[in-house]
Amino acid sequence: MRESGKDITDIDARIAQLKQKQAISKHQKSQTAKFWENAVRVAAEFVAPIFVGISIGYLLDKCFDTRIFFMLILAIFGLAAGMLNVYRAAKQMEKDIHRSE
Amino acid sequence: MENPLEQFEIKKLFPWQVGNVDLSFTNSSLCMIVTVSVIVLSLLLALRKSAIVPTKGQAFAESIYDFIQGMIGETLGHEGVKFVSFIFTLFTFIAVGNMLGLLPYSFTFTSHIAAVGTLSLFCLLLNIYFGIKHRGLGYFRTFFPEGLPIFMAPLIVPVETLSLLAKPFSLTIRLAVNMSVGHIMLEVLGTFIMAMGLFGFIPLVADMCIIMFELFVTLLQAYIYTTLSCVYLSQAISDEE
Repeated sequence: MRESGKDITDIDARIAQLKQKQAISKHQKSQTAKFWENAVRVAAEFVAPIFVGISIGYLLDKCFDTRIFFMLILAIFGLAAGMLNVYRAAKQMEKDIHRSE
Repeated sequence: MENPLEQFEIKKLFPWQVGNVDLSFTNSSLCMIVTVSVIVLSLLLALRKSAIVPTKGQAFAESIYDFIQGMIGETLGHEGVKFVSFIFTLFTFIAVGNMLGLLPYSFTFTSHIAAVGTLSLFCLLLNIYFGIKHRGLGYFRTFFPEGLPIFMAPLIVPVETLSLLAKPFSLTIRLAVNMSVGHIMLEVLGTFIMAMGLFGFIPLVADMCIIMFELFVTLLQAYIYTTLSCVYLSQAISDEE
């Protein structure tokens, strides 16, 4: 009986301790998830615009019978877009790190 | 040796042709319906008797919901509350579809660019719709950020357009390729089990390891697909450059 009484008196402290523990584990989990997300995101975001540019360029070249003119131009634009995406993703990651600190 | 790509073949179960459009009911459509039925039935079963102290089933369903809510909170913040049901549907549909695809004789519709691409295109249209709804004509500033000299427009506008169009493309390719490669690996190793006779246990153990890994990949890919959809959505509705 005394034991349970003791339990009740420090219940607030125990709840706070548990909440803190949960918050730490949640933060660690979200950091791991973020790592995976960033790892797969950056590579795909760099390559995808180049592929899209080449595909659209190929279709335009077929339409206008212009050999590889559009494909070349849009591949260069795609490369630029890929670099821009990686830069933005890196900026976002930096922001996330600052926020978590 | 069997063709490892045969498992991705679309078979017409009920052929239906309307003019030039093929609207046949295929094994892919059947798997999608099974996936939706599994999700709906399991959620109905889990939440049959909702109580303050939850049963195991209710706790499981609520933990998925909490997980999605947390993910949206991190990326979309307070604005994301109205997208919870959409993102929840997206996540469960892809995750359960991926997992059901691992069962023998089933079909992985998430390995098809057409199926995943349609989902991704829908996400893109949703991005554009909510971008315009939230920011009005300011949404088009995405294609030409403020403060840039006008002569940069011919360079920046195509780059930003390609960057936008690449989003559904990268979402689609990542999911479809991950699913296809895993299944091809399983099939190839599977054929070695019988072919190697007594030593067949070596590829069998490898196959078992890959199935465990694939189970992890199915959930990871569903998570990545949904979390990136949230990130793209937050980029569309936020005013930050």
